[in-house]
This record gives sequence, C-alpha cells and structure tokens, in this order.
Amino acid sequence: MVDLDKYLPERGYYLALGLEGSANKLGVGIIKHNKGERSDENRAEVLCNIRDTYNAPPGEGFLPRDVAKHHRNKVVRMVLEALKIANVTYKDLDCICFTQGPGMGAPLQATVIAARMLSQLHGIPLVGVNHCVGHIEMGREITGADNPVVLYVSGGNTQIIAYSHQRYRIFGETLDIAVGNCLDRFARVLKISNDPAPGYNIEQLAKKGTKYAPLPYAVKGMDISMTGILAQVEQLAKDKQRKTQYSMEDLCFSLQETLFAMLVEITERAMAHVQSNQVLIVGGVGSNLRLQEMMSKMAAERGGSIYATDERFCIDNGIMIAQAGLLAYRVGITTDIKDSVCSQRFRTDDVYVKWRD
Amino acid sequence: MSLVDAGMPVFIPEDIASKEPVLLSQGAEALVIHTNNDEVVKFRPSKTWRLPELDKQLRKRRTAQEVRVIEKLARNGVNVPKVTRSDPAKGLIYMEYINGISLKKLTWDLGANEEVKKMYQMYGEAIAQMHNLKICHGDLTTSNVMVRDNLIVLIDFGLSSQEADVEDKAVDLYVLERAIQSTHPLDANMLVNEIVMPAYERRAEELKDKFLSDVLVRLGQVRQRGRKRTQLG
Repeated sequence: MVDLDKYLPERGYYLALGLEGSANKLGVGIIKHNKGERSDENRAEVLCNIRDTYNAPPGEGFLPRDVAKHHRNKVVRMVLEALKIANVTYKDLDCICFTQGPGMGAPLQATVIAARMLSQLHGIPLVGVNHCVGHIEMGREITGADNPVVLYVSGGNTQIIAYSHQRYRIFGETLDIAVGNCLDRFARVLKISNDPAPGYNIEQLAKKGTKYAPLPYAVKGMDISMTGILAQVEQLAKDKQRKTQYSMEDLCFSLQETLFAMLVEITERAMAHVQSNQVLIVGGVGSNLRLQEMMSKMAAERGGSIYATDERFCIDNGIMIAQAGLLAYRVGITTDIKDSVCSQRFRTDDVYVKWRD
Repeated sequence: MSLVDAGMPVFIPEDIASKEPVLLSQGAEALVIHTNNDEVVKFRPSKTWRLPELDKQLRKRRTAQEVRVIEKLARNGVNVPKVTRSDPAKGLIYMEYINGISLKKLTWDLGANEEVKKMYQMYGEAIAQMHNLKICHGDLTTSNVMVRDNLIVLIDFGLSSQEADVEDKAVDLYVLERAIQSTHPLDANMLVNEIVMPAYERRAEELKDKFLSDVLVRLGQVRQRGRKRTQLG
C-alpha cells in the first residue's frame, strides 16, 4: 500500500493549483485532498476549475503563436480569479502543478513560465505533470473507476491505456493522426465553426445525417489509422457531383460512425486482452455523446460498464493537472526549476506512477 | 463455463446452441465456442453499437477473409487450425479444436524459461513464413498463439490481410512488439530483441525474402512515428 500522507501538512489537508496550457485552452484549477486514501467518502474537492479557450476562425486551425499569446494574456488574471473563487491565498498552496507535455511548444512554454514565476515569487514547490496522466487521474477521481481500460481521445491523442506495474501502458494508439485532429480537419474543409469546438458542431450535424457513405475502416490490432478516412471523406466533401448524393450532415454522420466504431472496437479488444470490463473515456472527444452511447452498449454486452465525465473534466482543464500533480506531490515528487523544461513529446508510459500500487 | 453461465446476451445460432456449447473465449469481436471433441465454432455476433450497414459488411468481410487466409497458410505449411466449413454471411467458421494453452498464459505461468523462449522463436519463424506469403496477421499478440505438444499454432486471423506490402508487415511486427511490451513488460525486451526478431530475420533470409531489409527499415520508421509523433492536448 502506498503511503499518501508522508508529507501531510500540519493543517491535515492538501491544496494544489494546476495550470494547463498544452493546446488552445488555458485552464486553472485548485483542488483539495483530505488525508487518507481516496474512497467514496473521501473525494477530492474541486475548489475552482476555470478555463478560457482560444478559437480560430472557421476554416482554420489554431496556430501555436496565437495560442501562446492568448495564454500569456490571460494567465495572471485567471490565476487571481481562481484564488478568489476558491477563497485561498498563495500561502495555502502546497504545490503548483503545470503541464510539462505533451502539447504544442509555444503554449506549453507560456504556461510553464507562469508556473515558475508563481513558484519563485511565493516559494511553492513545482510539480510537472504529464497531460495524459492528468486526464486519467481526473477521470478516475471523478468516476471512481478503480482500474479501468482508458480510452484517451482528444485533438492530439488517441490511445488505449491500461495500468500495470507502476505505469500507464499504451496498448493501442493511432498510427498517424489523432481522432480529434481528424474531426477538426474535416470541419475545416466544410468551414464548420470552431466555436465552441469543431467536434461538437460535427456531433450536432451528424445527428441529422441518415445516409452512410462507405469509408475505409482501418483497424490494425489495437491500433488504428485515420488519414485514409480523412482523405476519402474530404474528397467526398469537395466533390461537387457527390454533393447531391451525400449532404454535409450525412458526411459528418458517416465520419463519426466509422471513427467511433473503430475506437470502440479497439477498446473492446484491449478489454478482452487485459480481461477488464470497466472502461473510462477521457479527453475532449470523450464528451461526444454518440461515442459514449456506443461505448456503453459495448461495455454492457461484455457485462461491464463505462465511466465518462462531462466537458468540465473531459476537455483540457487545470483541475486535472492539479489532481495528478497533487498525487505525485503526496508521494514526494516535485520538480526543480532546472528540470521544469516542458516537452512537446512526453509519452504517457514515460511517467513512473509512484502513487499507485 | 457454459454460455449461459457466461451470461452471453448474444444470439447463438440454433445448430450450435443445441450441442451444449462451451465458451472457450470471448474475444473482442468473436466468440469461440467448443461444440464437440474436435470442433470449435468461431462466431462473430452482430454488434448493436455499430451502424448496421457497417456491421454487416465488416462481419462478412472478416469471416470470408479469415477463411481464405487460414486455408492459404495451411497449404503452405504454417501451423494453423484446420477449417471444416464456413458461412460468412452469418459470421460462422467451423474449425479444428486446438487442445493447448495460449502463449500469453504459458509465459505468465512459467516465465520466460528456455522452453517458453523456444515457442517465441517458433513464433518469429512462423511470422516470417507468413509474411513471405504476403499475408499479415493484423493482430499479433501472445494470446493469438496457441501452444500444443510443444508446437505453436497461429490463431485468430480476423484482422489479417493478403497482398500485404512493406508497411503492413512493419506495422504487423510493431503491433507484436508493443503487445509483448504491454503484456509481459519485464521480459519484453529480451523476448523481442533476442528471440522473436532474430528468428524472424533468420527465417526470412532462409526463404530469400527480398523485402526483409525494407521491412526492417520501415519497422524503425513506424516505431519512430508511434513514439515521437507530436502529441497535442
């Protein structure tokens, strides 16, 4: 059993601030842990979880420099606001947690600079957090899923993960682009709005689709490939003659049905492989209700259940960074300033998960 | 475990249900059902979560493909279960029962001892032979290899493809490498780098597989792609 209270402050609970800025969202969250193991009676308390999203105009993706500028502009204001909402001061914080990667370079850097500044100004230790592990830990905390197979689906990541021997091991992943990226890029072709999120708008259009346009279906074991599907659906969208055959709604519907069927299939394969019947969906695409519906039918057929969260925790946020960072802090992990360099490439399975058995 | 005990909510075809079937395994997409002493039925039930058009197409295509591949491998001396008959539209394949245990279980039970390593060596050789026939398995794991009488039998060709190119073969090997790493983390590097891959290369050279070097180069690239692909939030 891991001792989570070796570094318990005198007041008997922990407080952590989390800063997330690996992509186009800047999130600030403050979390409180009481001493002891997590249980249904002893849950983490979300004192504050605020987010600000940078949206590119329709037909365009967000550029790193614009996102970084957005983060720089907002971060001080948001940290102050977060402290106010949570009704805490810097003195109360045990650690400042920040996303160390993976993500886009410039936005990550903008965020880590803010974290270092706060740490030095107020003498609070830093904890660097892997973004993907942040999603997983927040998902576990919120849903209470004990040891699930994790489907992590977002704009930059598509991974099937299961815990074993102190690591979140990647059983399957995309061989090319991420599922969210595939949806985003398709949205750009159709000039679908990026507000609140391209994937959300595709989801709404897909509800009105009826006709299935056959698309490639590329599952390789527990891995999938999506570029072929994207090329094909883009072709259909651009092809004027086909426009009469498939509406925009039909294409959104077909794209979702194909991509999600692939995701559910590889999740099911991973569940069969590790003999688990719990599945936890995290990441921005995880807030898609059609994906959740398909996944829960699959899990039910296997006698299991799914755990999903809503947009507050699925979409990038500061609280998940605070959660994973605080767990690390409680077993004695902190990050020195000299080691606080962020990385665009930081694999989920690079993290030594000291806080779990 | 009987199907009823397993709580199977799926529809089982009449002729199988009447034979007091025993569920051998519930994979991701198919059930393997033991019907009598020497026969099993592999059944791909319909998935209710999948769009019906897509579901029908995938079940039929995969069942037919699986039969074609197994038969081709059998003709060319790769150890696979013998297919007796099939019905792709219903997602049914009837084949020989393999009375053994999976390589996954064997490795878990015994650890990576000499006997087990020999099985991994045979596994590497069988993959080379299969790739030489331009066939990719599509889901190479240690659960998809059965060990019977100290010989291995490759099973589950549900995701296999024919006319495989260099990329397909490289991905096939990458999938295996990753499966071993995640299933047997402590012995993975040894099993992959010292047993499976050398055996694969040796056998491919014996077969004068002219794509071997291309596949190995591509495997390096696939590995890089998987490992270092930019990850965004």
